[in-house]
This record gives sequence, C-alpha cells and structure tokens, in this order.
Amino acid sequence: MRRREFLKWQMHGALWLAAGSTVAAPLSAMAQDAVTSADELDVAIAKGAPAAATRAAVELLGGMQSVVKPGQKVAIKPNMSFPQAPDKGTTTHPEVVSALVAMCREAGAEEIFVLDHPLSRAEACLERSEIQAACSAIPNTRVLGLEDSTFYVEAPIDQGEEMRDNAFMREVLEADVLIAAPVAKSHGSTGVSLSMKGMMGLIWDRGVMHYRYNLDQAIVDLNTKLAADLAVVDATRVLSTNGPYGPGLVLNENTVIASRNVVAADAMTVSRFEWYGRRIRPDQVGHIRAAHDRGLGPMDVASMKVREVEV
Amino acid sequence: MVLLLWAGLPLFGPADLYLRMDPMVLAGTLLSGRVLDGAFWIAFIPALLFLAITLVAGRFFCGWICPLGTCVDLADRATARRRASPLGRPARTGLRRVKYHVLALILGAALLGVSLVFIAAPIPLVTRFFGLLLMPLVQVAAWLGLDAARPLAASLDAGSIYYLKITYDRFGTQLFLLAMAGAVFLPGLLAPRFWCRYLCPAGAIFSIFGRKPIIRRRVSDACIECGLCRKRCPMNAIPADPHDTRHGECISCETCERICPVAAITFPVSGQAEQAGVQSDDGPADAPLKQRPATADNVATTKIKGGDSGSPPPSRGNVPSPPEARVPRRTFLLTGVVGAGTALLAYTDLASPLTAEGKGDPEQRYTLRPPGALPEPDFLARCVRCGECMIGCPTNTIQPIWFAAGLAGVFSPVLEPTRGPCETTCNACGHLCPTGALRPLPLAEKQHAKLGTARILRHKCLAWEEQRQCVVCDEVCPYDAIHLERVEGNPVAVPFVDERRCAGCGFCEHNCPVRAQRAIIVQPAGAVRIASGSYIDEAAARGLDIDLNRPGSRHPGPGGYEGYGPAQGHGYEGSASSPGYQGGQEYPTQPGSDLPPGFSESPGAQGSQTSPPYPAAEPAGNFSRSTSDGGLPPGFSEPPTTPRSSAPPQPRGGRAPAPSGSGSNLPPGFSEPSS
Repeated sequence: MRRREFLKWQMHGALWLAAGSTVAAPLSAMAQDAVTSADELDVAIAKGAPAAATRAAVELLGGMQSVVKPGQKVAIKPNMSFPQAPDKGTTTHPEVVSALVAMCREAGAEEIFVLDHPLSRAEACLERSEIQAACSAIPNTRVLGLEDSTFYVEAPIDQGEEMRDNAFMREVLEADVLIAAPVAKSHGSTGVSLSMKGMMGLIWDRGVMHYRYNLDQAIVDLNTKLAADLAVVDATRVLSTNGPYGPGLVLNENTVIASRNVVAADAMTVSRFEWYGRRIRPDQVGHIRAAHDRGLGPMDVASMKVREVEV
Repeated sequence: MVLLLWAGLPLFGPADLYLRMDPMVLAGTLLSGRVLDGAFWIAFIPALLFLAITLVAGRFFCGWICPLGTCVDLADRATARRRASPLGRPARTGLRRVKYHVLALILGAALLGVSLVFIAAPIPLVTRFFGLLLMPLVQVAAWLGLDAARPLAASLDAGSIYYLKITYDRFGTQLFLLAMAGAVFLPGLLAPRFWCRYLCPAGAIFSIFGRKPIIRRRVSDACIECGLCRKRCPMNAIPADPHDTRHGECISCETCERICPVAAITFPVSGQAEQAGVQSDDGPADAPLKQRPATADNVATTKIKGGDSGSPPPSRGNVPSPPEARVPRRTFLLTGVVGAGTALLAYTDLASPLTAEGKGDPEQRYTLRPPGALPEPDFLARCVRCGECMIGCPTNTIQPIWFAAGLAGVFSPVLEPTRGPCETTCNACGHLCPTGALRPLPLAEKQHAKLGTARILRHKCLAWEEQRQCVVCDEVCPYDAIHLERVEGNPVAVPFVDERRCAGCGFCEHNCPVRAQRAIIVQPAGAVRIASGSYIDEAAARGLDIDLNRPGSRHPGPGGYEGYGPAQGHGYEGSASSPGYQGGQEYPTQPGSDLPPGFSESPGAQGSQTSPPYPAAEPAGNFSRSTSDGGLPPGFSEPPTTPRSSAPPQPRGGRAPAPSGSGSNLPPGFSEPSS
C-alpha cells in the first residue's frame, strides 16, 4: 500500500514537472546550457532513499530529458534475474526501477520496456523482485522476463572481437534509448556484476560467452552493441560477498551512481565500496579493464568529474 | 464430455479424483504396496463407493463415468463404418475371460510387490494418454499458432497477445504411449468397446461385483424378440435369448432401452416387486476366485417368460448356457502365477531398483525421483504411472522413463534437470499423486527433501579444466551450496559443491553451459527418502544444512565474513558425509591466507604491489580489513601491466605449453637425467 501511494505521489510530481517544462519552454537556451554543463560530468552520486536518490542522480546529469526525447522507445535493463526479495541485494530495487520509468514517462517516452532474461522462472523473478508490481501503475510500460527464443533476433556485433553475433531482444534492438539499471553486487567469475555484465540479460545465448569466448572480452563485445545511453547503478544495497545469488554480506549504502558511460559508472561503483571486506581497484576487474583498453570509457576514477549530493 | 476433459485437465476438486475411482488402482496398489494406513482408504473412498454402487446398479461406472470408456466410444464411432465386427458375434464369449486374466496377472505380480497396474488400469492409462500425449500436442499447436499470430498482434499493437506466454511440455516415451493408445483404441475396428469387453481389469473387478445388481435390465413380455438389442449392445451383454442379460457385462448404457421398437426394456430402480419369481440369492460374488455362474436371474426370467410366451422356451430343466463369462478358476490361478513370474523377472532385471541386494547396485542415474518419493521399492510398488506428477510439474522436469529403471520402473517419474530444475517454490507433484508414492509435503518440508547431490565433473568443467570464467552453477544455486575457491595454478576461481547444503534441485545442471553432458550433474546419491516423518528433522539428523532462506549477513562475524562460503570450511565432520561424496576436501588450496573461506591469494598477485588506498573512495562501513592484501577475491585479477614476480599461472591438463630449456626436444615420456 505504501508503495502504491508513493507511486501516486510520483505521478503527481510527474504531472507538475510536465506542466513546468511546458512553461519553461521559452527558456530552452538556459536549459541547453544546463545540459551542456551536465554533459561534462562523468559520474553523479546521490545518497538517500532509493527513488529520491535515483531522481537526484539523474538530475545531476542533466535530467532524463537529456537522455530520452519525447516519443522515443526506451528499454531499461534492471537486474531481475533472481526470485528473491529486494533486501537480499540480488535484484535492482523496485523503487529505483519505477523512478526511472516514471522519469522516462516525464521526459515523454512513448513506450518503456523493463527487460531481463531471468535465470529462474520469469514469473517468480518478476514477482519476488517486486519490480513488476512497482511499475504496474505506470502507463505504456511493460515489465517482461522473456524466456522464449522467438522474442530474440539474431544480429551481428560489428565491433565484436571475440563474440561477433548473438540473438538480442527485439525490443532492445528497436529501442531508441537503452538504460542500464543494475544492482551493485559481487560476482564469482567477473568480480562484480554491474552495468556491463548486466547486458547479458538482453541476449539469448549466454552460455556461449562462457564456453567459447573469453567472458571479459565477450562482455565488452556485447557492450559495443548494447551501448547504454545511461547507467544508473543501484547501490542502495551492495551485495559485497557471494554474488550474484547470495546470500552474502549486504551493505546498506543508500547510494545511486549514475553516468552516461557504463564503464565510468561501473568503475566508480567498484572503487566506492568494499568487496569481500577490502578495496578493489577498477582495473582489477577484468571486463572493466578490457572495456577501458578498448576505449569504451574511463576507469580512472581519480580523473573523473564527479558530483555528489545527499537527499 | 465434461468428465472426459476433466481427466486431462482437472478444473476443480482434487486432480486425482478420477484415479481414486479406479478399483484396479486400489486393488493393485493395496496388494503391491502393502498399504494399510487409514489415509489410503480415505483417499480411495471414491473407488470403494463405486464398488458399492456396482453392487446396486451394475457396471454403472463403465458406462457413465469412465473417461477411457468415453474415449473408446468416441473412437468406436469414428471407426464404426469400417468395422468388420468379426468379434462382435454373441458366440464369442471366451474372449471375455481375457480381462480376468489381465486382472490375475496384475494381482499376481502385486503379491510379490511389483506394481503392473500401469499396463492396463484404465484411469492411469487415460490420464497418461491425455496428459502426456494429447495435452502437449494441444499446447504446441497453441504455441505455434501464437507464434504465427505474433506479427499480426504486433501490427495491431496488441501487446497482451504478442507477449502472451505459452509453454508446451515435452515428454519421453511418446511412441510407447502412442502404441498403448493404439492397443486400446484400434481393436474398436473388430468390436465396439473391445477394450471394456475383453481387456479392462477394472471392468473385470466391476464385473465380479456387478453380477446381480438391483437396478438392472428388465425385459417385459412385450418383447417381440426382434434381436435388435442383442445386435446393438456395445458390450455384447445380451445372449441369444434377448430376455436374458449378462449382468456382469452390462454397463447400463441403456442403449437397448432406447432402441427397443416396442419399449419392452427398462432399467427400473425398484423392479423387484413385479419379478415375483426372483429367487433369493446369496449376494453377488465378492472374490475373484469364487466362481459365480449367476444364472439365478436367468432362470427367473426364463420362468416368467416360459409361462406365457409362444416362442419355444429353453427347457426348464436344463439351465441354459450361463450368459456370464465364467471366472476361470484354474487358468486364472495360472495367470496369477505368470504375473508372479513377471514380478520375479522384474527383480532380476539388471536395472531393477527394487532391491539393493547382491553385487553391484543398479545404475542410479534413473532413480532421481521427485520430491517426497517413498524409499525406492515402496515408491515403485505404489506408483501407478498415471503421469499426474509429470502433468502438474511447472518446469517439465518430471519425465516418464521406459526401461531405464528396469521392468518394474516402466513409466515411472524421474527428474530430468537438463529439461528443467525442480522449482523451489513448488510442491505440486506430491499433492497430485493419488497413491501416496510421492508424499504430499508442505512447501517447507519439500524444500528440505534432498533429491540428490550435485557433482562436478571436473574434466568437463569450464573453470576446472579450461580455466574459463564460468560459475553459472554458483550463479543459479538457490541453496548456496556451491562455493568458489582459488586453487593452485588456476587463474579463475573454481566451484565446489557443499553436499550438506545441496538439495539436488538441479538448477546447476539445468544452467550449466557445457553440452553433450553437463559438467555438473545431480545424482541420486544422498537423497533423503523417508516413508514417514519430517524431512526437516531428517535433514537435521543427517547433519545436512539445507536452507533456502539462509540470511545474508549484515556485518562480518567475528571469524570473518559469515555468509560467504561454508562457515565451517569445507572439511566437514566425517559423519555428515556419506562415502562417495565429492567435496573439496582433498584439493590443496592456496597456502597461508587468513582470507575468508573460499579465498586465497591470487597466483598472479603474489609479490606484486599491494592495492593502494583509493583516493576517491571512502571506507564504507566498519570492516576489519584483511591483513593479507595480496590475494584477490574470485573474479578479480591484476592488470597485465603489473609485474609478475612469481610464477605465472600454471596451465592445467593438456594445455600446458611445451617446456623450454633442456629436454624440451625429447619425445613425450623421455627426460634428461637430473644430475
């Protein structure tokens, strides 16, 4: 019940914001200016409650309207691959997802898909992660766990070095905007599972990335094809150990890290929290290192332009 | 028709209600399973009820309730025009005995504890036919139809249709099911209701009980003896004299009543009064071996008719040839012995899971049974192979087998993890089982019912053998039974199964990317199979640590990071592990680290620079830092620019590069003297 009220509140806010934006239309030059300055920002970090922090972080980057244009199709990729409650830290917080969806609606998105290719039965994952319920009130939004191969279409990965093709969700290929919304967690074979690793939930054949290719390189290949326009890492809870399924040490960090660049977002997430009780540098994560080496984005957090707010 | 649909697609009431009506299921299971508990009798009240009804109203079940009978009728209608009816002639009474032989065969085997109920009990037959053969066909047709309709739905913007999810089940043994269906339905070409007349063992039981029902066919004096009823009777229950009825054969379908041109035939509820001459009889037969000519009724009818009919009556002194098929006592016994012989054969089958006696246990790959399965011999004795558990399984992991578990295991259910995992939130199968071969467990109990143990085939494992980053098994394990460790010479962490935590659900095997055979497989070893009592208590008693809701820790415990890996390490107390288990005990781990269990120093990082404190990052939470900074957790690695002072990771297996230096040009197997 509380969430429903919250969603209502959010929708009201959305309406007011929409009204505000029409009023502010003549001031577009100023808005443009704000966007430019936000573009220079590499990473935005917001601390606070899940939904509020998500909004704050995206606003720091220039708001969702700088990513999503009216009438566009948006695909959001949270982690909803595990049939577990949000407090386990294995799935993206439902309020982070619903806040993103609401912001996309406010920015004028025509159709929003919240997509994953879950590891467990889709119904259970969508229900237990509470993501489906959180997004059910928002119009033109579909939360889907696609388990049928007919929803995936073969497509080449032009810049792939190891993995040169796979089958992708049709909705993702057709989307104008792709938003990565992973939860921050550790992962036994790739160290961490964040924005870039999460893209494995949008393809059909993941096994091939394990048994044929170098996993780190294949993840980078995948991200050349599925280059997210925005990465919002849900670090409200960080599964610091024993990821990705847990149970492990869940750190209550109340943080959301957003960036227009997935590598920067992932690198910042790695460096900001403790993993297995210790500090890890982004270059100690194979796929981040590989993505950096291939020019997908920066991993040196010291030279990033970061802004941080608390809400 | 509604009832017919219900058999395959239970809409209301207990799904197995039909199965509990089948007297063959009752009798066979009672005998083979040696079941005496009250719950069983309560479950089979429907069957007992119908047996009681049969005493009163004849083989009412066969004509009005039995879904297989309805199917046979439908099949007969489809084949009616082509029917040659060589066996439809009234003279063919001998074939009617066959069903008693089928019954004797099943009961004979059941005496020795082997259930052959599945070969002929009508309700399991029809349930399998519908659920395992027809349903998947309908499902796949719907799936294909939906797939074809998707472009249209997309163009109409009908998302709810486009994203509609239809899954279709797949089952093994389709051909055998088809063959059995053919054996039941195709003889309809020879005679209507061939199966019910000549073969059905449940029909035989009902026949014995329905020798002399109170509500039965009566023929009044208006009969003109046109013989139409005799011709049309689907069960060939009317002998040469149409006034007579073979009540044991009559299924009260009332076809004769409907077609009689002079309306001389009735099935009155209280018809005794007008039948003044009915002799008191000592009741219907109640034991299969008790031969009951059941001619009394015939005699009575003859008496009445004889008085005022102009047609030549059968002589009173000589009782006419008994219309009922005799229950052949001697040959019946003989078939019983054959049944017992079949049971013995089942015991001596190489793959028989009935006993673990002698040298060499049977190959257990095919006895990975669904949750709540009784101990194997009891399970097989009770299981009637109806397929309900398979039909109800949401992941389609429960599959019928053919001869893989021997003669006694035909059509019995096993888990096939490659097809699907055993869903942790589901306990449907046990609640669908009509005979209690699978116990109806509450969900919490089911989650503790260990089905088997996952075993890693290291020679196939991507991480172990090929040193690839793959721990999908760990990724999907809902019980946290797989933990990762670094082992000497391998740059990636490798998985170990904690058999105390493993519940055998099969998520790991299902998701393992290695093909042909998965690199992690669930074997029945270690399965908890108890006939009574709590699985939770049993798991505790056996020292298992099965916990689906293992709490994630919020703070590192005093001993390090609780919640990561097995807290007590992986050298389990010996008593907890059964012999033959494969844990991580014997494998040498990286030396000398005080990292949490599962961690060790990375070979590539030894001697390298320690990770500098990161400028932009702040310590999050109060941790006791590990004093040893060199080793990295699984999945992390040093960048290649880091100077590696220690030995590089030693490739394992056949991937080792040819050693350089002296001796490198020698053929394999030769070496230079060490001095």
